[in-house]
Amino acid sequence: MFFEVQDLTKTYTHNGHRFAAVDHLSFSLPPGEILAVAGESGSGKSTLCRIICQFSRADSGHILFHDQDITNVPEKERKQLYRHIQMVFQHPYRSFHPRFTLEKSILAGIRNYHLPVTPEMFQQYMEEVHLTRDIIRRYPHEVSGGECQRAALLRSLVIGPELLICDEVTSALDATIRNEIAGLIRRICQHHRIACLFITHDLYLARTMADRILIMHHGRAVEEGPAEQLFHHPQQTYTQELLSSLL
Amino acid sequence: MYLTKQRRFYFFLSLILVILAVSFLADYIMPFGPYDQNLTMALRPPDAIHWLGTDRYGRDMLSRTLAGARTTVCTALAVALAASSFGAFIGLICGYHKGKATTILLRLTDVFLAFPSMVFAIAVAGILGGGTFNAAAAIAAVAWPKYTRLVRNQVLPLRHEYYIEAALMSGFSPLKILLVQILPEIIGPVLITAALDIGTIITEIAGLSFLGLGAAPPAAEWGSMMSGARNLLQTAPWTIFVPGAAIFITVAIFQIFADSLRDLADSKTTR
Repeated sequence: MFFEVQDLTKTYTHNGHRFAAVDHLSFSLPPGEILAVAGESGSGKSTLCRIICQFSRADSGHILFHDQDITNVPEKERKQLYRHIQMVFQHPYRSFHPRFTLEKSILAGIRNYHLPVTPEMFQQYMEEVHLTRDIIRRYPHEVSGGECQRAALLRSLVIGPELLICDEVTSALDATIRNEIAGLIRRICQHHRIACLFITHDLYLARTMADRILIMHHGRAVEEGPAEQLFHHPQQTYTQELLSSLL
Repeated sequence: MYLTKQRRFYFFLSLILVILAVSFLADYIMPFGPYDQNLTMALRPPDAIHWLGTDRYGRDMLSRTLAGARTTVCTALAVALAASSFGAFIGLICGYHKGKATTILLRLTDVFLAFPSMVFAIAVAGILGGGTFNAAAAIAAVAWPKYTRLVRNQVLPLRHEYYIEAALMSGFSPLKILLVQILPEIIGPVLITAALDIGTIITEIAGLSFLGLGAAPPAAEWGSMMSGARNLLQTAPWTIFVPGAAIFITVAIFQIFADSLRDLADSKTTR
């Protein structure tokens, strides 16, 4: 299996009460597929991202990548994992070091992984995300939110990941830019056959973006299915309520 | 307002550069040798030949004060550099890594912070024995923990910044993240604290020497010079006022410089 989450659980203690941010969650993701993980705030979507990216430790369960357990990878071995799994963060400006130009942050990945990316290839990547050399030579505060998020996408893209995790990447952007960035991610993932875990609370966006949608509620997977099928024939009451709240 | 702060900063920076120049070029600008004795000229008040008078052995006070500047100021700078570098390094590790080793380091820091610094320095200098180097080591031993606390508190919130996590995913090693991504963000407060510390360190070095735990006679060191002249306060007051004034002026310049550096940094961030 390319990517699989098995019975994953993560609990937190708040004011003496234990609650599960991710509660026995299981799903799988074939190569090149876009899976939207949707749900309201606090449903455990971002916690899931952070566990996959090793920024948080799972209490139990497993995450398998190419049949290898990557649930809690030791710090020394994480670089190898990040060569294959990349993440685009929610806040574009906060995901770039304020003292470095976008170019410096983007090229650092190529340098650190010793990737054979030629200037021509880099130019092609830039064109794919609709950026120019002039823009990426600026500092994060000198570009728009959309440009900054495209630069973040470029930073992940140049590393050549097999799995891209997008954690609410459009929520900090204007409505007009939102669809543009989502469309861009879909095109890039399809073109490079990158599997994508697209975390969002926007069900419309999930529908246009993803091949399949997974609905989360209180850390659990409520329903999962092809995007159109889930929209037109929701099986679970929570999904029906969620969809009816959009109308 | 910003320009005024900038002018004040540059004014005191130039004064510090003058002090440093005098310290390093003391050999070339001293009118007499700092250890040259002339008993026929003992305890002469300031005059045209000996501008700041002479001590009980007829040594020129100006020459000894200039030579003392080199000992005191250079030692203070070295102590500030050593304490801030070591403390900051430990703070970086404690802020970035979690684990038993970090907890032990932090508790050790707390132990050092719990002692009154001068009393602890006296104890350390007493154990190590006299001498400028031992006094400097004693002061450095009590000066580093505050840098550890300062740096750790700065690193903790940065550690979970998205750009640090993004850097990890871009293949940066934790050490490279600490040095390239985090250090530039926290170096400002460390420099300001170190600049503020230099004045304190100068008084501590002089204090230890005054107590006989630092530079030993006949070394030209301000604290030691004051200690040697303490029974001459009423008969030859210049022998104690001259090194005392040198300490006062130098410490004041370093403290005001550090304040102006902080003001400048604050106005840059709030402008």
